[in-house]
Amino acid sequence: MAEHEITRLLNRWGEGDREALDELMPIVYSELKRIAAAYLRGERPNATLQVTALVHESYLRLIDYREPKFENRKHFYAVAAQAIRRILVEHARRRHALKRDHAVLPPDSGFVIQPGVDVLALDEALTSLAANAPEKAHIVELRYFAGLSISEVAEVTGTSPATVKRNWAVAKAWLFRALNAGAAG
Amino acid sequence: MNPRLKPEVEAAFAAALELPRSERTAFLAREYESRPELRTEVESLLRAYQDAGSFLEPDRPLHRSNSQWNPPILQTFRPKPGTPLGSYEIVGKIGEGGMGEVFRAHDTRLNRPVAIKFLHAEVADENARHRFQREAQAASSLNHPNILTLYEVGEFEGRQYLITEFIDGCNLREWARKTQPSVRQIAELLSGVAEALACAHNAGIIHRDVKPENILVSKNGYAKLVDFGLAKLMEPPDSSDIETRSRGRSATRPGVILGTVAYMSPEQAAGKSADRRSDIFAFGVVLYELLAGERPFTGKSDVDVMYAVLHKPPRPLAELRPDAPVELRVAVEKALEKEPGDRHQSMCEMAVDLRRVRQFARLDVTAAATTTRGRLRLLPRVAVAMLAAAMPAVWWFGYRGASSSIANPLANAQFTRLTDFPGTELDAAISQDGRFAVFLADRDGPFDIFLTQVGTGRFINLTQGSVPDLHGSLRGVGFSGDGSEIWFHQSIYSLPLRIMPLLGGTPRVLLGPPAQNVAWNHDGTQMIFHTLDPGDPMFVAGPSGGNPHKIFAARPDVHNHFPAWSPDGRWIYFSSGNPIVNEMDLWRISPTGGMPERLTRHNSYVAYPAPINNSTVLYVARDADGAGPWLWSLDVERKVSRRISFGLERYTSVAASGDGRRLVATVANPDAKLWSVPILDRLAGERDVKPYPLPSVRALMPRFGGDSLFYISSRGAGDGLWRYRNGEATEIWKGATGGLLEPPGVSADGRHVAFVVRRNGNLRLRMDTADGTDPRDLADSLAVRGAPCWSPDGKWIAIGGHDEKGDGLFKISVEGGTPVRLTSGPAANPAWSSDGTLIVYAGADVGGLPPLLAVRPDGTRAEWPPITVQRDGERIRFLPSGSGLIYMQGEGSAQDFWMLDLATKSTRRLAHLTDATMFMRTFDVTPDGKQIVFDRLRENSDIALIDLPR
Repeated sequence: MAEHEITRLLNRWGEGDREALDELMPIVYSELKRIAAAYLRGERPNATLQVTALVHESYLRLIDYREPKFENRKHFYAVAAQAIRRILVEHARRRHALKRDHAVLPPDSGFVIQPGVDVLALDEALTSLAANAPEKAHIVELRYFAGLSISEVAEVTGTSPATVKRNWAVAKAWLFRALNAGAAG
Repeated sequence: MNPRLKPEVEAAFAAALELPRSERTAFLAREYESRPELRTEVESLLRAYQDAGSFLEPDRPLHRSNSQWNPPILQTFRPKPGTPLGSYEIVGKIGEGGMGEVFRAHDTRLNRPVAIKFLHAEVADENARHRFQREAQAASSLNHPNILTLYEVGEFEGRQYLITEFIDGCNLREWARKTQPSVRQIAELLSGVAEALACAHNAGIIHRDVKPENILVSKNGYAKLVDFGLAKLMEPPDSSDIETRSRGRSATRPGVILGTVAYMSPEQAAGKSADRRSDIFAFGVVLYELLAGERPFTGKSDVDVMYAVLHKPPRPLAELRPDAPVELRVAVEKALEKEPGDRHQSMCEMAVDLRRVRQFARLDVTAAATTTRGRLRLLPRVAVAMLAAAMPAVWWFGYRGASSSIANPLANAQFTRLTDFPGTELDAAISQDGRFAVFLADRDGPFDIFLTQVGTGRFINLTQGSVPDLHGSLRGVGFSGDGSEIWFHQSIYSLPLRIMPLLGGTPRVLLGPPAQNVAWNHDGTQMIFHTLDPGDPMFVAGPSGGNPHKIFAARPDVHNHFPAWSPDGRWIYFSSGNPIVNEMDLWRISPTGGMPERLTRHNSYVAYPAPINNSTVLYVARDADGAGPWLWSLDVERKVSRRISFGLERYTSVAASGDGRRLVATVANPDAKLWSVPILDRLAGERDVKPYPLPSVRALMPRFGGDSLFYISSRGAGDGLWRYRNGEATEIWKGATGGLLEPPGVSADGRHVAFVVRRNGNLRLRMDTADGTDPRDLADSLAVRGAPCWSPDGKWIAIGGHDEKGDGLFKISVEGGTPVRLTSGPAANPAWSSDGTLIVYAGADVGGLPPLLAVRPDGTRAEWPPITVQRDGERIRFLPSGSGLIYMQGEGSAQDFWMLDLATKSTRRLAHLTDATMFMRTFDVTPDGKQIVFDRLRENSDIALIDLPR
């Protein structure tokens, strides 16, 4: 799909057309997957993937740089974050199936977001968080999978940084507890 | 278990977080004393929060400013102020190249936009970095409007960067997609790129990665070549070119790999090193792709593409972009030669070729005062291609001072290519009802007569080799008056003119020799033909040739060819004049006889008059300098002619249906090369003929002199005289002011040349040094004929011609002065013996077979054995040793070389050459006397069907 097509879809999504997101998701997903795959295969052995870099690359490739619209970027990142999450989860599932143990991505896989994070468990916990606190789950997605800062998240979600900060803290605590249920009391 | 988040839990949590850690428990105990479950939950969360630490916190390695929302992209590269990059404000990322990322930035010091390219971090090797710096420094020394200016080079956080000028535009691929450019636009844009490459090559820099992505086109139409020499930097020192070109960059992007391989030259694909000619090849690929709309070398995988690059020829551009002028097609195909030695040897040659296309295209546009900007679309790949040409409907032009307009009969005409045969088609004729066309073609071997029913795309070979020697200079095939039969005449003029049924069958004699070129009037009641007796008398006869009576005969030296009837039968048009020196024009005469009337004033080659109505006659004619032939239209009443074909396509024949609404024309693109045959003790044949290697793609009229070979490189309008010496070919004279019509004469030491040009409507002699540095006109009073030759001592030039006293052979001193008459009577094409005692020349041309005569330099006649040679072209050369004379004999398909032993006066045949697809004109003998080098012109043509609008 051509770049301007994607911009158009993002515009539509920005205007509230939910179906546009459905159309967009697979594209972003496949685009990110392609990039990620290169990293995952270790073809850039010295580069540690920054999620941000991943998202930036995909953003560039999908959006015509000459017409940056804030809404588009905002929505793009939301989509990208979800997409990356799905990629990581898929990847983790595959490795989990092979390794049959902790679905942790080893640091030398070239696709390090944060060593030691059980991606599959996180995904599960995030899903259940989204069930009763979707805006918090969204913030986690944007921060963890798309690497946005507090103020960036604030801009993307249209809320104040203070609110974002607060929500983030709660979500982080809740998720940590969920992932370490055995350990904590 | 992880209970759901409740709002009160959140609120308590948030409130507690704002307190210092030590105070939290107390706060909770106080505020939520009555809600123990809540307290437990909040405390649990608080504990989790503390334990989490930097859990899920995104990794932010680079410093960023807090001031505003910058797109995260800025975070990746944020140079610190005070550093070399510090004065640049990054605006945004322009894109991802094969080697790195490109950003647009603002130079805050000089207040201008720049582009910053960061190379991938993989180029971190120490050696690579040094090479990069060196190469970049070299590239920065290139100063050319079509090369992207490099401002700075450096390193930032382990990554090399380049700062260049910023181009607001797109790359060549996108430009082509958006503008769908015309041939002229392509030539114009790419000539700049060619010049850029030439400039770089002169500075010793090879680009190595010429491709559309590396050519930027700014919004105001300027082309900029980028990424010079960077391809080399991506190599580790010991890897082969294939690997690096195919894998070194962007292995993550599959599409890029394939694209790069498509521009690789054969030597690179084979793993050899690249030189400037590899750039030329890649440039040719780009040019081809722009013109054709597809790549010359394609395949499903890298390997397939590389195979095609190495072994497969590209589809001829003539099929994919017929509107591209011949010169351009030749230039592209030359650049795509597999052998580097066969390509242009320097980018300057290509730049010159492109500039010429620009000029000619511009000429065509300005020639017509009103132009419609119709763009020629890319053709679909079918055997019959539709070519809609937008022609101006009306022109204004001047004719001898008067200004008038003439309607262009080709306006809104529809062009269709009738044949897709390889090889040559000639002499097309169309039946009166426009349903059938007949022509000569060499598709199946020597020339045969082919018939087609228009629109069926099917062709029948009517003669299948049973009729030899069909290819001649007169009209050789046509339809009978009632359209049921086809007449034909072989080029051996002593044979009768025969006729056969439309769909083949046994031919019968229609007219006995020397009758030529029969044409019936529109109602089929009368025919006209001419013979080859002196003055080419013209006869009108009944439909089957009965009761012929002569209506006209010209002066003995004048010829009348191509008779054609006007639709109302009141006039017969014909071409008359002296075809030897290409001085002809269209005339008309009443079928009842009387004085013929001159209609045109070309004084050049004029042929194939095809009336389309009672007031308009189409025909083909060459320019004064020999260029063409082009298609012309004559307004009979006003006696005003206008060229109606554009571009460099040559029209070698045209014919019209009875209602004048449908035309067939042969459009030619001749191929001229030099060949050699050795002088052996035995008779040599075609198998001994070998191509004579020359850097020029086309070559005619070879002449040896000293250590050089001179020849004409024929390129349509504008022939040039070239000199080949020590493996290098240079153009020493450009026929801009007049084409080269005859072979040059070269002095024995090779230091001077003499040639014939057209000046003031007459053919004149001109002299120059072999470097082209001292051109001089000689013998102003002499209207020359044929080619000149030098005396062995280099003091005289002999040539045929006529002055106020009449025809003759003359000698002219190189110092200048009045020509000295040597003989009286028609004379042409002298050859001077190497001992200087004898000049042999062709005498009066009677019936196409002039005798060889000899004269001494003092003008006294010399004895000479009776030998005749054919009229066209130079036919005699002395052996360098002086012991013999080589001459060419034979008409039709037999073109034999003979030698006359000057001592014994005996003759023997040296070579019997039978390739009838090619037409031999001129030859010379190599200085060692061992080989004959000759030119062969192969017509390479198509037949166009032109439907005129109602």
